[in-house]
Formats: sequence, structure tokens, C-alpha cells
Amino acid sequence: MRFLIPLLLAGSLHANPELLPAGYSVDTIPTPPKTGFDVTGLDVDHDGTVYAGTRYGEIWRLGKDSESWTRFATGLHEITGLLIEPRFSNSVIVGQRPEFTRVTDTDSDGAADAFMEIASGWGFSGNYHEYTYGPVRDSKGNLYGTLNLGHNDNGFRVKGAIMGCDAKHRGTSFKVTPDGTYSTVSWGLRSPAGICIDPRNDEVFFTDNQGDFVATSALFHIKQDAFHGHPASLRYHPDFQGKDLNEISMEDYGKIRTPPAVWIPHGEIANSPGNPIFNLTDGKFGPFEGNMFVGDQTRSNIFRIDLEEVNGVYQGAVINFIQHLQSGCIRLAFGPDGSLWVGQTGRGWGSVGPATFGMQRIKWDGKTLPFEMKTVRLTKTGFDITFTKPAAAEDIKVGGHSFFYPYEPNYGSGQKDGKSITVKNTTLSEDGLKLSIQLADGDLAAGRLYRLEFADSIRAKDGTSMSTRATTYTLNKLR
Amino acid sequence: MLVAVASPLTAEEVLPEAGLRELKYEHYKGVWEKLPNFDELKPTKSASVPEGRFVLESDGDRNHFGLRFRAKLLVPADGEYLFSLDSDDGTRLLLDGKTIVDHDGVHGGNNPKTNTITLTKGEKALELQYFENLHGESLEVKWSGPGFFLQELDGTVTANKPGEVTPEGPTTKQGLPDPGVDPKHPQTYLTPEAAAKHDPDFLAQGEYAGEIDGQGYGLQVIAMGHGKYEARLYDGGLPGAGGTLAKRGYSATREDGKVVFGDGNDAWTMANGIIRHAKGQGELKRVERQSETLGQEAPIDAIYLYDGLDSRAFKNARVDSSGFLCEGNIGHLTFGDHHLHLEFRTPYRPLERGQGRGNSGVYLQSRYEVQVLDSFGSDLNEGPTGGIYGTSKPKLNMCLPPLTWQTYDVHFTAPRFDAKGKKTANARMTVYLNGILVQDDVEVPKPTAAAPLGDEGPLGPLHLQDHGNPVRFRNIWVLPKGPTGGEIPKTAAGNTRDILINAVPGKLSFDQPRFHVFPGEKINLTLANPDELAHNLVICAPQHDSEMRVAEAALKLGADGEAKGWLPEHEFIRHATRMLKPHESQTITFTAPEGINRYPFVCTYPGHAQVMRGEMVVGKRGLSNITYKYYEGVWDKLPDFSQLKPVHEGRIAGEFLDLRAAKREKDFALVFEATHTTVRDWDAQPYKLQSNNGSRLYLDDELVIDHDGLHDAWEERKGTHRIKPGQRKLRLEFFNHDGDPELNLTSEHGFFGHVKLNRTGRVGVPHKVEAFHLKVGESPVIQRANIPDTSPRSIAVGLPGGINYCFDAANGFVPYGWSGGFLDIGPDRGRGIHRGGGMCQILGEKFSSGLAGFPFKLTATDKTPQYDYQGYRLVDGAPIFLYRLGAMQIEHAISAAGELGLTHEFTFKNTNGSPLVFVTDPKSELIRISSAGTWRDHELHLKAVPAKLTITLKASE
Repeated sequence: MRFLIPLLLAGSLHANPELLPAGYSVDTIPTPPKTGFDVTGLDVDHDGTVYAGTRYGEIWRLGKDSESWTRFATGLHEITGLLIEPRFSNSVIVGQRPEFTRVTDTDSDGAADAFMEIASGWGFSGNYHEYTYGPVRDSKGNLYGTLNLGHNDNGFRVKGAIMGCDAKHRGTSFKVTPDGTYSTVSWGLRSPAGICIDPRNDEVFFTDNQGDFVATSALFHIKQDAFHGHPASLRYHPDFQGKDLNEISMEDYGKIRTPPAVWIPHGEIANSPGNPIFNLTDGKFGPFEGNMFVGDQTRSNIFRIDLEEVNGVYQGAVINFIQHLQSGCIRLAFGPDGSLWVGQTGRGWGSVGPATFGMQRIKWDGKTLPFEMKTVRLTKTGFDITFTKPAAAEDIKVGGHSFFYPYEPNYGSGQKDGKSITVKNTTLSEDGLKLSIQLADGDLAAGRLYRLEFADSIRAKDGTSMSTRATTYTLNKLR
Repeated sequence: MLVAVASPLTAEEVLPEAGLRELKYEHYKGVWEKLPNFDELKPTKSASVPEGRFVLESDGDRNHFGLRFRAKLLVPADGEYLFSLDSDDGTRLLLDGKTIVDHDGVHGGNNPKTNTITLTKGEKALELQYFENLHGESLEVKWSGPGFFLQELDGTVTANKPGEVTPEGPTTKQGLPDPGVDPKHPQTYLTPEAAAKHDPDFLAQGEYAGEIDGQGYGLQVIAMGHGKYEARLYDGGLPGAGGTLAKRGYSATREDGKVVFGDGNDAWTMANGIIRHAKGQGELKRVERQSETLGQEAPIDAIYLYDGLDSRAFKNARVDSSGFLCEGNIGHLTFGDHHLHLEFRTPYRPLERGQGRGNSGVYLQSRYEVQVLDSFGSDLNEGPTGGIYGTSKPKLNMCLPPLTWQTYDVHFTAPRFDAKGKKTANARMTVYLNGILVQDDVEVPKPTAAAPLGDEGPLGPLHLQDHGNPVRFRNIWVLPKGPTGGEIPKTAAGNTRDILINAVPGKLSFDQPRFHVFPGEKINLTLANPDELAHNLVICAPQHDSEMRVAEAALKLGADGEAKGWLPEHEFIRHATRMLKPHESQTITFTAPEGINRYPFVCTYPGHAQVMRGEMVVGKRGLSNITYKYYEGVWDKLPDFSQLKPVHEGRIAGEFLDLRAAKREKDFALVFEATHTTVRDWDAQPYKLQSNNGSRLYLDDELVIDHDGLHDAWEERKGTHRIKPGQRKLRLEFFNHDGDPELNLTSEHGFFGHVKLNRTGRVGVPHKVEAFHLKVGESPVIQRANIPDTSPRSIAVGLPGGINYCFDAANGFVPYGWSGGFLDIGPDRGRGIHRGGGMCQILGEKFSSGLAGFPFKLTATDKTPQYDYQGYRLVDGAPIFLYRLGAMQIEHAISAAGELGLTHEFTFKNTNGSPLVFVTDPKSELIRISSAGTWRDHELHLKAVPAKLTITLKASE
């Protein structure tokens, strides 16, 4: 069952992104011919071997020389997550609809021969939208995953929502300990297509897709017993047994809900985000060390999130990074050389990128410093924005507005209560790397978003212009 | 004639002491194809339903469950009651233990089954049984009775309002237009829904067939109005299904819910939808027959005269609000020899007799009439449908009941004339009515009576007779076999189209977000407002956002708005109804504008416009004037067609690119050219192209999508093109070399969805959608997917040699096997449902595994430990399933045992010497073989768990 397919040429037919910071380039990776290759599980090993799990239930391996794909396993049930097993060689854990499964090539002949269940503690009614995302692993060996709600016309739905809960634990995040114990971590998820862990502190995050009860796509921080807002999963919550979830008011749901760490504006930044990943490549991927990178399936772009913790709560800013890749970007993984691998699918929901599926790889040339925002941090009176290289003081003009996203059952909600904000003062640090923005008194308020945009006159000291001049910061807590 | 119901019960709106009380249900789990005997089963749950409504409480299950509802039914008065069951899957309704409606079996919804019975006032014990096998589920129970119309059977019964129009009137409850009732003729119904609603006789009339004492019989029951029926008895079965001429006729009147045809030893009693004979054993059941050619698509080179929208092929045509062509139309095109396909529906007019009962006619060449009449059950001498009027009786009466769509397929040979115009041969006709030959090459010496064209000639147009009866037509096409003449005009001037749009109560929307008309047509647009709010309908100019500009202007009327009916003066307004109060309707008449465009419409009442709007599309968007060139050759990419000579060229009927233009199944190319009409103004109109293999799309000679090369159809390419309302040239190049040819081209229309520009896949070629068929070669193939009749956590395995099985990982056993092909994985991988994840199909003959659940029992302990699935490993590609039972580890290998059986090899580790029992399905008739132990009926008993155990279970034949 093993065969080799030589790569023809590293073509870049569709690699013409409209937005691309200086110093970065996009390679299109040829995928095996006549093979459905919607990459929805992706991980890269320390030696550079790439494992891709596909929606067709196959696992493929791209050798560290990046020259040939081999088929590692077949027959799985729509893979939507993949993690290389550090404890075993030739072994990965995939999230497929019914299970987390360890897939291992025990005799090292290049094809897997053991498919061992690691966890299956959730319900699965068979509905097409019941995806299993993950796993990610923390430093203690615990695995985490998220479970999509179902999309049944006649299913259990709350307040007219289109997604519902037709089997237990749909719409929750969960944890599996190394001894196999399964437990629910948090509730109220909708279509949580991307999960991520910060390896520095074991904090787990996921992205949810805009839709009913989710005003716009968002990044959530997972905490034990949190409720993220979509009520369908509460059907199986022990505290809600015997209660009619339609009768509970939005106000009461609002009281128990933990809002997202970062809202991702629909239409501008993302419509259906995939998994985030922290850039901890020691500078091999350029100046954005510590930023989180997230791909988007519909818009076929990749954006950055700069996270910070303020008074015990995560919040931060979204900044577009690269736009118009060849297909929907749903999975990201960094290789040991610091390049960013992008797993892609456009099937079923449509994507701006024209290809149905594929794989691309983004590299930094190791020398060219683009001029971009690197971090956006809240201060007592406004924001501090750091740059990747010194800015020229002369032509910095910045303006913006604030708004909020409502919590309501609607399928997505627009930005509400838009207000302009007044920039009273800007101060550029001596080294030109940090701009402090002071807003008018009363402009800053918790529970709102702040969209800041530089006029296109902004330049680095060396004259380069900025590829992305706008950022939106979610302010959960004031400093 | 309107007749008010005289009922003692009309004073109250809600009837006291009527409907369901004390409703309870029991929930069961199981896999059935028919309702089980619930008395023998143990419910998994039971509860009462305080709301008193039948609700599908599935307890989280979507498949494989049953429900038994029980309640008291309070019958409010003596009289006749109709019960209607609509369900997916089977249901049965019982009163006092007697079956009233039986709708058992695996089936879909939207196909209600009804029965009328006589009940006395008082309390009855009601039982409703329901089961769901797979896929969708629904349950709708309705009833009607003295003083109340058909409504949901629940805790309350809403009575008819005093003076409310009875079933015989032309209007619905609210006085709004009902397209199913003919306002011009008494008791004339145009749709089965309206007939069933207003006349209980309609549901009993129809065809019945079955066996009595081993002899086949057919009985046609004809409604004659006011509870009177006639019936015709056929030996051998219904006409066209064994029977030919009626043997006997009867008449009868419905009494006490029963109709008795004949008397004494020859009495046929119709009750509860079943007809029984006084003496004979057996019964006749209702059948609903449908012509084999119903809905038949035109051959590739035919000409559509009416496709459901474009009425330009007829002069002065009238199209009703359902989009059906009305009686009284003459075609523009003239034909000589030709084949005609046409579908018609006669109205239900129970009070009319003979030629007054739904009369029309189809005149070929406007000269030779095949009759159209509600001659269901009538005598062959009475000029029935299928006859060539006044010339030739049909061989048998193949007319179906009124309001059934029926088909004519006519081969017509025109008369021949010599050079001087003298006739040398008569016209000839072969006629199939509802797919059955009723006229076999009959010579027609002269035009039939009352023919519009009295003189014979080589060519003539189709004429649909207007006999003053509302007969409807659809799907009319002609395949010319000789010369044709005339042209289809560019506009539909002189034609009339009725459009009925309803405001949807409580929804702030119109029930049709879009309607289509043709340039020059006279439009009778009726807006009906059954809502409790005021609404109007304002058709606006084709400019972008014109409807919102008009709505804004209406809002600005402010204090004057109410007086002006919220209709501002605005340059963008084209046509408008007045502001309709609740339960009003109004018809406005205008001529559809020339040209091709879209005209938005909107309700201008303040606050409604954001959601209450739609568009009138003038002209037909999509493809027309489609031609093709067909080439043969072996290519791996698209060739330079300018250097090639086509093998064949032609034109395509209808509006879709069609791979049936190809003459072989691989190694060919097609170049389609067509006019593509769009009604929108878009800077970047998106197109999507999938093909097997390469293809290229050009619009106005600009390359829009390049999808060349050898690839499968699921690889999709997109492109955009700037468009304006109007027409452009479309060219699509396609070739096939490898795999099944397939082509999908769609044009997206933003808010209004996609428009397909080709027939999907391989229409016209026998189904061979094998791209998604998983094939098994020399090694086993394993695939997890949703497959039928097992848990979604199942693993399908295809073994070399054509034996397949599935292992249910959730429950630890093999539910079934199948022999033949392996799996159609298409529904999982985005064929049909693009998102995938659908229910896949097994590709062979299913056989019983002999197992009904996890088979092992440890008898040393009171309770067998729980089955714990661990996974599978592959040995030579075949899976060995691994699971635990407490501390015991089981390895389970499965191989084929002949063509209808499986051998299970179990290896046990960590055993503790406990006795072991292996339980098979007691209902399976099997050959059971084991390597150890003793079989006691369906159980294998072993004194102690062995190290290894081999069990073969296979069919006993």
C-alpha cells in the first residue's frame, strides 16, 4: 500500500497574494495527483517531516527533503486534527469524527498498522457537522480537543439557531489525561474549528466560527467550566437538566458567559478561522516572534493576533498578515526551519482562493525586515504600538473608532454603537520602535473594540511603507 | 353556488370537549422496517405530554426508535370524521383498539394517508404507533369533522366561524384567493389539495386493485358528487395492468362511512380505504398510478414548446399562477412528421357528466384531435381520453383519476401530397396514453370534428382546445422528424400570466422572493395578505437598490404616510398595489417590460423593506441557443479545435449543456456554444467549473476559467467575469480521457443562489458514478464512514473476493455483511452534498451476521464486564479488532465463510477460567460452527474461556 509520488516542480501558479509583507514568499506544494487533499490535520516533526491528515480520511507524509509524498494511513473518518506523537516514532494522533486515534507504523515499513483509540467520550449522531478538532498536548501529556455542534434540520436547537446539539458533549471542549480519563472542560462552543496551546504556559485557546450566538468569529481562552455563549451544549450540562433552554433569557445567558479573548471582525479579517499557532521560532520566521498566527478558510488569508493578559484576562489585537492564498487556510504549523506550513480546503463552504484544496508554505528570507505593527498593548490612556523597525516620526497620523459585538441568537451580528475616538497625542520612542497613543478621556471602555488605522503616509525610517495599517483591539478589561 | 354550513357547533370558536386528553407516550429503541408489536417490547422511557400534541420525542436518537402515544380522544358530536397521517417512517392510528389509518412501512413524509369513519359523540381510546428507521423523521396527524375543517389533532379543536363558507365555496377561510378553486364554475377544483380540502368524496375516489380468491381485480371508483359514487370492475386488474374492458358497473351512496357497490353475493364494501367482497377472500387496496413517461426530459435535439416558464411558443397563451399552461393555445411553430410529448391534468368536477367533465383536446397540426377529458372509469363509447375524436376509440381506457398528471406521447406521420398538392397518403397516429399504447398506427383520413384547420396540408401548429373547462398542461416538447416551419417570437406579446404572491403571516416576507415573466406578457399580479399587518407590493426600476430608495422615500412621508398608503411619488416606481389591510387581496395588471432585466419589488410599509422584498425577472436567464461540436481523439489536454474536424454537430433542446451530445464514453471532446443571459449587474460574476477531465470557459471570447489537464471532477476552479443585464456568448471546451466524463458549471447569483448551467454528471448514460466507489483489490480496504443500519462509529471492511462487513466499534460486534461491491463513499466526500459527511451506501447484497449485539457473556460473575473498544491493528492489510472485557483482552479477526457468512477468530488473553457464553441472534436461521464448546440453540457454551476460539456463522442454504 505504499507508493512514492515524485514532486514535479515546486510551482507557484496561485502564489500571488495581494498582501505580503516584505521578505516573505509563498511556495505552493504540489499534492499527490488524483487525490483529494483537503488538509485539515497538519503537524511538522523536528526533522522537517510533514504529516497531513485529509478530509478523505488519509494521512500523508512529506519526507524531510520535501520531495515525495507517501501515504501513511487510510480509512479514517474525516480527519480534522493531527498531532505528532513525541513519545513514539512513526506515530501521530488524529482527531477523526468518532475518536482521537493513535496511528502508528509499528514495523517501520512506511505505512501505519495500528489504529488505537485514545478517547471517544463524546456523542456522535452521524450528522455531517459533528467534527472533532484537536488534539493539542500540554506539558503534562494531557490532550485537549473541541467538538462541533451538529447541523440537523430537525435536531435539538435553541432559540431558532441553525446549529444544535444532538449527542452528548457536542459544543464543548474536553481533556484526556495520559491514563485516558475523559472530562469536559468548557461549554457553549459552536463551530470551534481551531485549537491551540501556548507551550510556554499550557494555556489552551480555540477559535469559533461566526454564526448563531457568535456575532463574529473569535478567539476564546479555555478555562475549566467556562461557558462560551452558544447554549445548545447545555442540553447535557448537569446544572441545566430539566430546564428549557429556550426559556432562559439572553440576559441570563449573558451573566454566565465568558466573552472571547479577541473578536475577529467578520468580512475584514476572517469569516471562518482555523487553528491558531504561536510563533516561537526564535526569529526564524521574521520579526513577529510571540505573535499568534491564524488562517481563515473563507477569506483564504492568514492574520496575526497579539495577545496580552490584563488583570487576569486575555485580550489583544488582530492584524492581517497575508491575503489571497490559493484555497481556504484552515491549518497552520511551523517547521523546524521556521517556515509556516498551510493546510487548505475550500470544499463545502467556499473560499476566496480558487483551488478546492492544497498546501502552501510561507517563508521569510532571513534578512528583509518588513515595516509592520508587531504588538498592540493597552495602556491606562490608550495604546502602545511597537513596530518591527524604527518608524519615521514625521508622517504618523492615526485615527479610529470603537464599537461592540452584541450577544444575541442571530446568525452573526454587525458592529454596534460605532463611535469615533479622539487621538489626543502620539509619542514615538527615541528608538522609533514604540508609538504611544493617548486617547481622549472616556474613549476607553471595557467590553468594546478599538479599530486603529494609520494614514498611508506612515513610513519606516528607511522609507519602507507598511503592508497592513489597521488593527482591531478587543478590550475586555481596562488597565 | 355558495352554501353555508348549518351546524349546531358554529357558535364557539374552540369546541368544548373535543380533542386529545391525557396524552402519554412510550419511547422504544430498535431497528424495524415495519411497526413492531410494542406489547412485546420494553419501553426505554415513558412520559406524559402536557401540551397534548404529538411530538417526536426521539430522546437524542435520530434513527432506530419507536413511539407509542396513548390518549383519550373526545369526539364532539355524532358524524363523519376524516383522519390523516403523514409520517416518516411508519405510523398506525387506532381507536378503541381498531385500526383506523394504517400507514406502516419505511417511507418518506409529504404523502398523507387518510380515512373517513363515522363516530359517535363521546370518549374513545386513541393509540398512535410510530417508528423511525433511518434518515428523516416527521409526524403529522390531522382530523376534520362536523363543524371543523382539517386541522392538527391536538388538545383543542377550532370550529368554523359562523357563516364561514363551506367546503363548496370558491374562497378559503380568509376570503383570499385559493388557486385550487375555480371561481367561475361551481364545485370545480384545480389542485388535489383544494379538492381534498373541500370535498371528502375526492379522497375516496380513485383506483383499487388486489386479489379476491386468487383472482386479480381492479375497481375504479368515480365520485359523482354529494357522497354518490360509481364504480367499474375489471377482471385481471386495472386497465393497462392486466385488465382491459370493464366487466360490470355499479353505483352507490356513502352511508355511515361505508360505500357498498352491488348487493347480495356481488357486494363490494369500501371502508377505511380498503374494498372487500361479500363472498371472496382478499381485498382491493387503493393504488396511485403514474405514467412511466411523466416528467420525461426532451431528447437532446427536441424543441421545448413549454418548459414551465417560456410561453412564447404559443399565441395568446395563458399561464396560471402555478406556472401551468391553460387550455386554448395555438403554437407558432408548424410541424410535419413529429413526436409529441405533453402532460395534462383535468380538473375535478364531480357534479358534471360526460363531455362536460374536464374537456379539452390536443389537435396535432391543428387538425387531428386526441381527446382530453376526465373520462376516468367511463365507457369506451363515450369519447374518452385516448380516442382520436370521432375516428378511433382507444384500445382501452387508460385515463387516470382527475387532478392526476397524465401523459400523451404521440408519433404523428403527416399526410403526403404529390407535386400538384393532391393527397397521396393519409395522416397516421400512434398514441401512448400514460405510457400505454392506445392507438396503434391508426390512419386518420381527414381532420377530426371542429378542427381549427379544416384543410389538410404538410405542416401545422399544435393546438390545445379551449372547451370552457380549466385543463392544465406542462412539459410539452416536440421531436421533429421532418420539415418544420415558423419561428418563436422574441417577446410574449398577447400572452397572459397570472402571478399569485402571498404575504407570509408573521414573517414579514413574500412567499415568493422571485417570479419570472416574459417581455410583452400581460401580467395579472395578485397580492394576498393573510397577515395581521398591512402590506403592499411595489415593483421598482431595474437600478441597483431602487427598492430601498423607494422604501426610504416612503418612510420620509412621515405623518402623511398613512393617508398615502405609504406610497411615495418616486421615479423608480413602476407598478404598485394599494396598501392592503389584513385579509385583503388585490390584482393589478400590467405589461411586462421589453428587454431582459430584474425589477426589485418591496413592501413600503415602514420597517418592512429590509426583509420584505424580492425581484421580478423579465426574460429567461441561463443558457439558450445551445449548439455543440463533438470530436473524437486521445488527448491529455484540450486540443487546438481550430485544427480538428468535428465528427458530429448539433443543437440542444432546453437550457443546459449536456454530455449526452457525446457518442462514446471516453476519449472525446465537446465544444459547446450558447447564449448566456443574465439579469444582474455585477463587476465580478462568479463562475465555478468542475470537470473530468479538462475544460475551459470563455465568455465573449475572454478566457474566464482554465481548468485544463487530466483531473477528476471534484477539483473545482473558479473565475469571474464582468456582466451587465443582457446576453453574452458562452463557449465551453471539454475533453475526456481518463475516468467517467463529468461536467458541472454553475454561475452564482449572490443572494439568490446558484444557477446550474449544465445537467449534472452523466445524464442519459446509465449510472456509473464510480469515482467515489471504493474498490477492493488484492488487499483488504478499511473505511470509517456513516453507513446504513449501524452506529456511526462503525468500520467498514472490504475483503478481497467480494465479501464485506462492518464492525460496530461502539457496540463490539458485526451487525451485518454484504457480498458484491464495497462502498459508495461519495456522500462522505462531497458528491451531492458538497460538505460531505453524508450517509454512504453499501454496494452489494446484505447478509445477516447472525449477531444482534455484543456476543460474549461471562457466566461466573453476575454481571459481564463492559465491552471496551481499544482499536485495530493490520495484519496483511486486514484488521484485527482489539477490545477488553474487564481484564480480559480479546483479539478478533474476521474472514469470509463462503458467500453469505463470516468466520470469527478470537484470541483471549488474561483469562480467569470463567465459563463463557457466545450469544447469536435467536431470529437468524444460521449454520453455527465452533472450534470448541456446545451449542444450546443459539448460544455456545464453553466451560472456561479458551485461548483461541473460531466461530463460523453463515446462511443455512
